[in-house]
Amino acid sequence: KPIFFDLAMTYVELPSLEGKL
Amino acid sequence: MSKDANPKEALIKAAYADVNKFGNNQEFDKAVKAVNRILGVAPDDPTALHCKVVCLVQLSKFEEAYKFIEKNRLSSLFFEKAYCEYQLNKQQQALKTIDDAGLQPLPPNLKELRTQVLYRLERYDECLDSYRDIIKNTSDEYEEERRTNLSAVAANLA
Ligand SMILES: [K+]
Repeated sequence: KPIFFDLAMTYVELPSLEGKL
Repeated sequence: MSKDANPKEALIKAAYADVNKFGNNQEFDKAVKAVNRILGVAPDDPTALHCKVVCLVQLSKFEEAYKFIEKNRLSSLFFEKAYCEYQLNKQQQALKTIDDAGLQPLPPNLKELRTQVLYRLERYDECLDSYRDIIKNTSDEYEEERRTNLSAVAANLA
């Protein structure tokens, strides 16, 4: 099977915490 | 009066500082505990709910993240919902979640995910077009990986 990277995972990020800190 | 005079506010602020610190260090097991402290006193805090989902996904707890999204009706988190569906191998549902979001054009996160869903669905022609479009319009640190994915699609079309 060809190599296939999961790049969508790189978009799984915490939301901005500005205003919470 | 300082906000910190309120013990609940002080707890939340301290817990968010931990979420931020552990998140930056990719220590999502610790970050999720800090998020749980927030949700313990502010169960409807939208930012904390979002953080919890992200932590669970980062910990590869896709089923738990998915159930948490459903239980709390986090309808704005369609990217995270679709990503869980993708990981749980519910590709048709993931495609539906992305397309039902009604965003045109799709933002980069949903576009990237939709392309991967097309690959899993073996819809290689559409997948190839979508990668070409992403590659043309994206300049980031993952260009080589994306070209590898494009090769994988092309190999399946050959
Ligand atoms: K990440």
